[in-house]
Parts: sequence; structure tokens; C-alpha cells
Amino acid sequence: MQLVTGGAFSGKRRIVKELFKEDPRELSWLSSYNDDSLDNWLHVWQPGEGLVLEGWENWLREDIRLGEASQMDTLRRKYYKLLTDLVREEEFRGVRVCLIMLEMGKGIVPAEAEDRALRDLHGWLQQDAARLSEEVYYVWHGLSRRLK
Amino acid sequence: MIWFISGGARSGKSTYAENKAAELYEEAERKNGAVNLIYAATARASDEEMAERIRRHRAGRSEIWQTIEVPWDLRQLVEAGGKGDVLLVDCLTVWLNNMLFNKKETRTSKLIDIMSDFIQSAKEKEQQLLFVSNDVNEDLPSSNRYIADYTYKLEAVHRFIVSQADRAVQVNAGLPLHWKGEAG
Repeated sequence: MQLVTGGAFSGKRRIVKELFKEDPRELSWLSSYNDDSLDNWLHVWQPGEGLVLEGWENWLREDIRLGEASQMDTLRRKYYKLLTDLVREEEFRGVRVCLIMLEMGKGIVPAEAEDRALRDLHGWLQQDAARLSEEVYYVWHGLSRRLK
Repeated sequence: MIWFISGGARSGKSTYAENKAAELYEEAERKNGAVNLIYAATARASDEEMAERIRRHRAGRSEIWQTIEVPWDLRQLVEAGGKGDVLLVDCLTVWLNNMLFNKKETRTSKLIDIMSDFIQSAKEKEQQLLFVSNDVNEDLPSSNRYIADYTYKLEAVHRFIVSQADRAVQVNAGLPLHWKGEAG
């Protein structure tokens, strides 16, 4: 699994396309920006294709809105399990999975509780994703640096 | 040569850029004789706090600098700068804000064109051009569409300049992290 992280509009998608340049296989994209539901990842993932998942902040925000702030640990576990499922399926299929995540933890503490919960959960999700990924890249204004 | 220098608030990015510009200026003087070291300030003293910030920045620079105010029109700077001069533009976040707020240009592709023309003229005059900016895109995405749009446009400008730059440096706690070009 690969993780590509970076700030908003920093050029993460282009870096992902570069990472897959040598790979002749097509890519399945699951994107919250296209209103894809995260639960659909298995159906969206076409046989023989790599899988890219992007827009985690929207999926997390939806989940936070459905539940309560006290469910933070439950949510973190839910996403951790999903990441391990992705790793298992990636090995089984013999293709690559790439996660695109938005760096959003470098501002001041948000005034709204929902935003604070989102920022915390997203930060943990990124840490978990980095731990489970073989390669981690950080994108800065169109350039990338391998962190792991 | 084109430099892009960015980082967080009070990361030391301006100080790093000023030291680097002064170094390049001394080098250019030794090699080519008289050149100018020009500080292009994009911020105007719109209130007392801003005036104080500008005073503090100015006091920190020695008399080798010429300071000109360039709130948005980079052509002023093109006209002011001669062959081989060292130009420091501090900073792009304020420049873009002035462009958008005064409705000088709001279209992303045109903003890139303006920047492209500016860089081209600097290259033709063999100038050393240093841009300072701020990494403002690593915060929680704003639900305010003006702020989201500003971030989008600023990043488009950043990515363009970085693609044109010989050196791209991220400053953390005063220390340079070299993203493009050799260290030093």
C-alpha cells in the first residue's frame, strides 16, 4: 500500500499518476469528491486494476455526523479495520492500493467540535495508514518527498 | 536563477530569504560589478499593526537594500530592476490577496500568465529572483468558499513557480529543507 499526503491543491493526484506511470494496469478510483461511498470500495475495484482512494475527510465527516463525539475510538477502529482489509485484498489480488490523504493538521484548533473531531480522527487515520503502508510520500507545492 | 522559499508563520522564511538574497548580491557584485539588491514589499501599511510589522522587517535589513512597495503590479518591479539585480518578493500570499481584493485579476490562468511573464523578464535580465510565501494549505479545508478559492489560486501560483524554480526551499524553525536544487 502507498500513502500520498499533502496540503490542499498541492498536486497529490499528479504524484499518484507518476507513481503508477510504469504500471500498465488501469486504475480504479474511489473518490468522495465524486460522491462515491467508501462502503463501495470492493465493488468499484475492477479486477486486475490498482485502486486509489481519495477524499477521506468527507467520509470521516459523514461518519462523525452520524454518531457522537464519544464514538471517536469506535470510528478509529472502524477505519483501521478497513485499512487492514485493503492491505489483505491488495496482497490477494497482487495489485497496488494507493491512499491519497489531505494534510490538514497545521492550523489553529478549530472552534467547532465537529471540526476538532474530524481533524483528530483524520490525523490518527493518517498515522495508521502510514504505519500500514510500504511507501509514504509527502507532497509540497507540486514536488514530492518519500518519507518511508 | 529563480528561488521559491516557503514555510509556516514565523518559521524564519523571510530571514532565510533575505540572507540568501544578500549573499547572492555580494556574489553578483564581485563578479559583475554594481548591481542592486531590491526588496519588493507586497504589504502596505494599512493599519498600525501592519506598520509596526513593516518597521520591524525594515529595521532588520541593512542599508544595502532598496525597498519598493509592489502591492500587486509586478511590472513596477520589472521596470525598477536592471541587469543582474537581485530581487526579493515578500510575500506571495499578500500579493495574491491584493490582486483579488482589488479585482486586478481573479482568473487562475491569468494569474499564472502574469507570473510567467514576470519570471521570463527576470530571466532575460539575468536577475536573481527570490519569492517568499507561506504554506497555508495544510489547515482544515475552509467551508468559506472565498477562502477555499484563495487557497486554490495560491496553490496554483505556488506549483507554477516551483515548476519554474531552480531552487525550492521549505523553512522550518529557521532551518532550510531543500526540495529542489542542491543544498547551499
